This record gives sequence, C-alpha cells and structure tokens, in this order.
Amino acid sequence: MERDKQKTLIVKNGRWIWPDEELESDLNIRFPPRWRVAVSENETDFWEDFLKSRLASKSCKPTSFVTYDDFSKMEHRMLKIEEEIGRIVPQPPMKEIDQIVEDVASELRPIEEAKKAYYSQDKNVLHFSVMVSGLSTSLLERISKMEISISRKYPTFSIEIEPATCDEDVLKGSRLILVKE
Amino acid sequence: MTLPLQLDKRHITQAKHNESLLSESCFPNPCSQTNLNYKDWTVTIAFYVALHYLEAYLHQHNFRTSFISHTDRNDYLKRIASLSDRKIARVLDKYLALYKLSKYTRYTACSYHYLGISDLCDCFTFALKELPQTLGL
Repeated sequence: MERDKQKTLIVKNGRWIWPDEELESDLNIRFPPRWRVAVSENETDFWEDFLKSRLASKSCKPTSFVTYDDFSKMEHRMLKIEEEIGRIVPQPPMKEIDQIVEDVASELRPIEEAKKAYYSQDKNVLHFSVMVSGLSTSLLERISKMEISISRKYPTFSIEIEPATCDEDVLKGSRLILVKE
Repeated sequence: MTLPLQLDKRHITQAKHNESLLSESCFPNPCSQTNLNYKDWTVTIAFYVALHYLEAYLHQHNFRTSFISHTDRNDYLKRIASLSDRKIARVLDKYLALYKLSKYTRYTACSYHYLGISDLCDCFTFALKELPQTLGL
C-alpha cells in the first residue's frame, strides 16, 4: 500500500493497480513520473478493454488489484495527487505509427482542399498539419470526423489533425507525408 | 447565506456570460450582419461558449471533469462518444471543428481572411443553439 502514493492507476470503480516497471513492461506503456487516471463509470469499459487486451497480448495478469474499500482509505492521499493528474503515455511501436500516418494520408488524399500534410510527434500526441487552400466549417468538420474515426481505430493514441494555410504554420521538423499538385 | 451554485450550473452561467459578449456591438451577429471586424474573436468566444456547455453536460452526467489540456479533453470526448454517449457523439465533430478553427484564428496571424460569413454563422449557431439543445441544457 505504501509503495508509492504518486503512482496509482484507478482501473475500474475503485479497483486499481500499481504501475511498476514490470507492469509497464507487461502493458507496453510508459507511465509519467507522477500520474493518475481516474475512471468514471461511463468509461470503465474502455480502460478495462484496453488493459485486458494489453494483458492478453502479453499473456500476463496485473500485479496487484485491490478493492474499492482499500481505495477509500487512500482517498485523503489521493486528493493531493488530484492536482497532478497525468496520463498514460503509450510507447507505441513504430510500425503502428507508420500505419496511422498512412491512414491519415490516404484519408486526406481525396479531399480537394488538402494540398500537403505534415506529421510530427510530441510525446504521445501524433500531430498532423494539413495545408489547405481555404478554410470552411464543412472542411473542418470533415477533418474532425476523420480524426474521430482514426482515433477510434487507435484508441491508445492522441491524434490531432489540424488545418494550416502556409508552410510557416507547420512545426519545424515535421515530416511531409502528402503532397498533391 | 447564498449557497454556491453546483458546478454544472456554474458552467452554464459561464457559457451564458461568454454568450452575452457576442451581443456587444463589436461582435455583431454573423447570421444577420456582414460587417464584422472581429471574426477571429467571434469564433473564439463561440468556442468558449461551447466548451462551457460541454463541461456543464459532463458534470451533470458524472463524467470526468478535470482535464490537463484541450487535447486531454478532446481525447476523452472521443472515447465517451464512441463508447456510450450518443449526445456527445452527435456534437463532437462540430465541436472539434470549432476548436480547430478557434485555435487556428488565435495563433495564425492572417487567419481571419479565410473565414466566410456563412462559416461564422455556422459556428455561432452551433455554439449558442445546436449544442445546448442537443445536450438538453
């Protein structure tokens, strides 16, 4: 219980597991130094599925589960952690990122206004800048739908697809992933 | 003694407060006026109206309400939209579009040249009418 109060992942309705290095390795995810993911009832399935699938793929079980009662005892200490809410930082295999980049590029190809696209990564956020010939709400809604759909396909990633209208808007070091005449 | 408002009510109050800014003379209604000097800020105000309505909804329905960034909130909204919440799913693409547009107008110096009046009217209508109606606020 006293292993490290600043490293607690709430998994489901107060059930939680310790994110130690072994678990990081088992789940193929990297935890920030101080973090906590609180899970409301409405999203428990997501986390449970996510963890189960990661665990299943690694043929292992969580190292520690405790009950809601145990969690209640910890609540006072947890409040302090509330201020330092972090997030899971996936440690994605490059192959998966390449697949996401390819998916985004192929979804952008038929969009007439999209002339070029760049990809960059900041920690766990995969960022796409799309150079467009003009901005409209309908185009932005189309891009947003695409972002939602790709995010659904790769739920462990933060994926942002945003418009740009000139090269200066694109982050230095971004990778050009699409060019159209 | 006046009791503090519940958090969802506070977000609705803040949404209405932001909304009231859009009735000031420097922000004419883009659905009925064409001479707009602050298109970019109209978009941004509309976004912050929408954001507070969404926050109110999350509070009302006991969803997570603490986020470290817009990206964090957007990721969460995507998850609950795909898992369980149809109302969020119905507004999410427009909300994200408004988020992208407001971010773009704030940080790109020439941005307002690209905004058409009908686009502004869309943003305005979505944030002030469609979104709260769909979410039942």
